[in-house]
Amino acid sequence: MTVKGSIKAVADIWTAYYSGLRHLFHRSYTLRFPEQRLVVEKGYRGRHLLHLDRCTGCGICAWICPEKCITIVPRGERWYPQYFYGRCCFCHFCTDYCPEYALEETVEFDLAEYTRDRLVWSPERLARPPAGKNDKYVFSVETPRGASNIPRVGAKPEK
Amino acid sequence: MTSVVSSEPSESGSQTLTISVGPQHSGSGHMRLIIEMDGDIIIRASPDPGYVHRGTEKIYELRNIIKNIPVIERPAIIDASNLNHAYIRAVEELQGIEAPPRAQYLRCLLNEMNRITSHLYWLSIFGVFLGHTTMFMWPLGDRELIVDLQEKLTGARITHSYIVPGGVRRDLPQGMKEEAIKRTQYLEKRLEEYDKIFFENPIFTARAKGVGKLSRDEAVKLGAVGPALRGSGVDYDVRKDEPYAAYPELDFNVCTRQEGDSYARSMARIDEIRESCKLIRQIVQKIPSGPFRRKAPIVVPRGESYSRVESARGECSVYLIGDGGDKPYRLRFITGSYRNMAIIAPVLIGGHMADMPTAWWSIDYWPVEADR
Ligand code: SF4
Ligand code: SF4
Repeated sequence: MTVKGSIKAVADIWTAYYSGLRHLFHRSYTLRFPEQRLVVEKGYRGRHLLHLDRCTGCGICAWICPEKCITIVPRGERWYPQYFYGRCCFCHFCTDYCPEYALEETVEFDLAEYTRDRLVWSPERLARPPAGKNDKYVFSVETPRGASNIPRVGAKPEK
Repeated sequence: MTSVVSSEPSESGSQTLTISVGPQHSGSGHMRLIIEMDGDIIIRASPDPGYVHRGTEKIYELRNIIKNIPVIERPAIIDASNLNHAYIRAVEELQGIEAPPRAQYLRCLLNEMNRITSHLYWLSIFGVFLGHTTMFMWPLGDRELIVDLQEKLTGARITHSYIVPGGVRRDLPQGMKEEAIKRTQYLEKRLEEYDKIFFENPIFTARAKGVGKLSRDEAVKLGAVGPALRGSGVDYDVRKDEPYAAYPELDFNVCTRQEGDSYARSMARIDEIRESCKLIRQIVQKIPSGPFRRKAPIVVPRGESYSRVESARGECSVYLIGDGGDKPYRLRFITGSYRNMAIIAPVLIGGHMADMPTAWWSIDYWPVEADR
């Protein structure tokens, strides 16, 4: 390697180190989930919300479901869908195809359970409004120290 | 897991060693590579695909065209919308309908975002197998910029099921335009830092330049596609050569590199990310108003259709036969990685075993997509 080449190599390696070291002063991308939670915007395809008053039990949701995770179950005189979240891929074709607009997307996404039977959501459980969580971080590229998750405007400060 | 298969004397009298790389992801992806070495020079390499074969082509025949959408996306979830686009175009051709112009733009918008996320994902894996852990962290972090945008547009982070016969499922949300412009500009700035820490880093260039050579003629002869082909200097991109959706109205360049080595294939992808950033900004500014979906029947009329799109890993094509029912009679699905399987051996043979990760990952072969 020529002298000029070696000098260039040293300079390039220093540039690489320098650009890495500068990131010591960048904000981090990651959050300490579940204590710190990202705000999920409306429109996110999370778990379903079933409006019991609108559902006619027609079964179109069960017909279109690609993963066959909907069963129509009787409740007295009426029939309602029951979901098995172990198989759901959250495509929300069921929501799209429901003729009565009885299904809705919610922003609730953390549905992990310890047992398989807890993943079966009865119509009554599906009808519960999503539990409010302490979501207060948003992703922004406009922070002075690089893109990061920052507390949402108006969010309560951390204790 | 890497294991020694056999060790026997070769014709020249020297001892060769056959080792099996994979199939449990030892840096080969979910497939097995059988490599025969003389010293540490690779003299024979044969890919052994099929470890993650899921028989999707048969599954497509058993489900109606809407239920097929999530399955079509599964072979390459980080590039889901491009595969989905190819399928929906084939269905629409048989049905004789065309999506409204706004939907065509929205499809291209999601396609370009997927191209960026797929290339960034590749870059992070490429980085970590070259021992550069920073290059594993940065692209995966910056990918979040775009994944977040995809979530805003479609409601899902990776498997969007966004493109349906007759259009797309949702309109452009409010504030998306400004956010897309800001984020793509930020990403372009980040790419300059990638250059400094990785692509101009003498340690990387020494490991990538001249490694895994594939000549222009060989690339054409073996039918390589995507950045692996463009890295060998062939100017071929379905978006330009057989324009579909809104691409004829958009202004972009096909990114080629002449050298045909690992470095050229890598840089062809980085150039493509830059080009996709420009495309996203163009699309959100140019997008026409109007409806974004029109009614389409859940039926595949009798006949045959063929469609192709440029996915992140190269040309992806769908050949569909309909028999008048709601399910495809037959759906042949060919992805970029499947086509690129032919270039694995020529790229590896003649190189050092230590250069295998560089040469192998520069192809961006995705076994799940190839096996289907
Ligand atoms: S949720 Fe909608 S599609 Fe499903 S059974 Fe009720 S009304 Fe029918
Ligand atoms: S979101 Fe998709 S997979 Fe889940 S229940 Fe609805 S249709 Fe089935």
